[in-house]
Amino acid sequence: MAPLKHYIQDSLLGGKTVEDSENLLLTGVLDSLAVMSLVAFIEQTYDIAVPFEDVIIENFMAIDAMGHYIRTRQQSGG
Amino acid sequence: MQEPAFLDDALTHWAATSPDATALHFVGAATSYGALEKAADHLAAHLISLGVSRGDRVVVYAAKSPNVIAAVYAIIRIGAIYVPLDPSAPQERLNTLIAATTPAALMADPARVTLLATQHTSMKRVNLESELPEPASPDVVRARALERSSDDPAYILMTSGSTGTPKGICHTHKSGLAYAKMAAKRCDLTQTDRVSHHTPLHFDMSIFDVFSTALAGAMCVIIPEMYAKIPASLAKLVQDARITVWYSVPYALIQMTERGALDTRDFSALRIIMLAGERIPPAALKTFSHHAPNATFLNAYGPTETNHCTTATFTHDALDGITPLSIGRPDDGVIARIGEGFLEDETGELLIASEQVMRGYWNDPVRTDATFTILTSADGETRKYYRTGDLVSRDKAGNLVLLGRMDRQIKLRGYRIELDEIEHVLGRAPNVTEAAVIVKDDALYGFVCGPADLDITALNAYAAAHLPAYAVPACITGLTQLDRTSTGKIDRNALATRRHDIATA
Repeated sequence: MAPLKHYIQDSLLGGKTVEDSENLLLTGVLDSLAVMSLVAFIEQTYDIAVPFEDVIIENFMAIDAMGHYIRTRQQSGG
Repeated sequence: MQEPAFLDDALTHWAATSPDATALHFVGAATSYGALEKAADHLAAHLISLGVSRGDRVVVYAAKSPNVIAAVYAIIRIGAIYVPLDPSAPQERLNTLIAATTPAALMADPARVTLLATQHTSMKRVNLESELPEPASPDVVRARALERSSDDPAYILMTSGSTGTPKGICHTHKSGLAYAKMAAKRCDLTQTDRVSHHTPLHFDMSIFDVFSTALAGAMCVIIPEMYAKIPASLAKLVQDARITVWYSVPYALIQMTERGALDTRDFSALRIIMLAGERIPPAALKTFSHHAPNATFLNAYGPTETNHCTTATFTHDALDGITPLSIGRPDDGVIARIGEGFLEDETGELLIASEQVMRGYWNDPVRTDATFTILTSADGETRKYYRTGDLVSRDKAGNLVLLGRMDRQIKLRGYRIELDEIEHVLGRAPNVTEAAVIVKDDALYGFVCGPADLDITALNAYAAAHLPAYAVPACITGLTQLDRTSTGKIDRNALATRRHDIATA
């Protein structure tokens, strides 16, 4: 999930380092605009479709949660 | 209930008569009225032990939570004044606001207590999540509560003001309660209601969420900030908490409509959708309304200085998705008039006289005086009116129609232009969900929100076809989202700094 982490740190957070397990929504690190760009990034980079009903806190709160979601989608052929 | 005189009286009443009823709902956890009253008294005793006195300002600097609501009650119970600050505001802004209100104490969540630890060292600090020492006898708190007058200031809401100097809008127990009572009645709130608390505390709409809800002994469903960013989770919370009364800026609803996966949600419990803070895009509201079959829609109007003071009510049938929504009629206890003439003007500034109106701007008698005007009406009554700065007229049915801000009426190359009218035209164009127009360096700039493949060429043609040539924006930019302030309103200052910087989509 290296590209994902790089994208979050470099493009969304201006170089700030974050832990994989850090809750990015709770601390206000990511705002709603950032979540939208993140969805677009994931769809392109990992070649999966992310429907609106999947853009929920459980799937996007931290880098490892996003990684888990992406792998699940890839396996299910989404 | 005995007629309440203070903003915290309803809490005491329900804690005594229905102690087990749920006052606050927060990600599945419930706080009863009894427990909230106890928590408020505990914090109040702690503030007294820190030396906080009647009339002192106490800053509340935290994300929404049950502890924060207990803190608000604690502060006003001992006659102090709560000053809620935007939890996401930059440090520099906080310093300005703290300097303007010279608070005696700060109550914050753990992350934020330390953020300000090295500055403002004379302020006492309370960490809202730490264990507090056992309180002194509750009688100390009671004694303090009894010293208060309902004309005492209860809260100060800070706005940036167009010049950048902060204005502190100061409400008393009396003015806050006059509003809370009116609005609770307007929405027919009862003990069985579950009311959303979406709006951050530093924004006036939270007065309804917290105090109108408490007057009815209803349940306040606190929406964690995290949910406000993720529309699909927000929509699930609205469904799962079976919220009956929703109150927010239109933007929150638009986000849920666009990205909330609403086809999979059940919003049948919603009976009132009340929106305020800025104009409602008619098409977006219409789309949302299909998902809330049992709801009535309220457009609430009112500056922070007056609280929400006029309301328009719409049934499903009345929403056509095109007509701009009126702001309705003055609410109970509110006198509204247009212009300062002996007889009302057809179009002019909206003036408001009511017990709901603020006491004044904190520590700023000059600005306070300038904002009020004393007028005698045709009925022979002399009243003190607040000048809203909003331009209104009445439609045929007698409803007030908001035309725009007085200061959004500009002159450009000799033409008088209403920026809000241009926004309305752009907002009506095919596929556009929202529009904002700003003026910078003597040119008009339009920003619109819509699908990624929005046709800007077609939009330019639409603007040229529907607006006089001098009112057509020099440049229209398509954005996936308009910039927003922390309270969810369109941030036109931020848009002004964008101008050409963004490539059109």
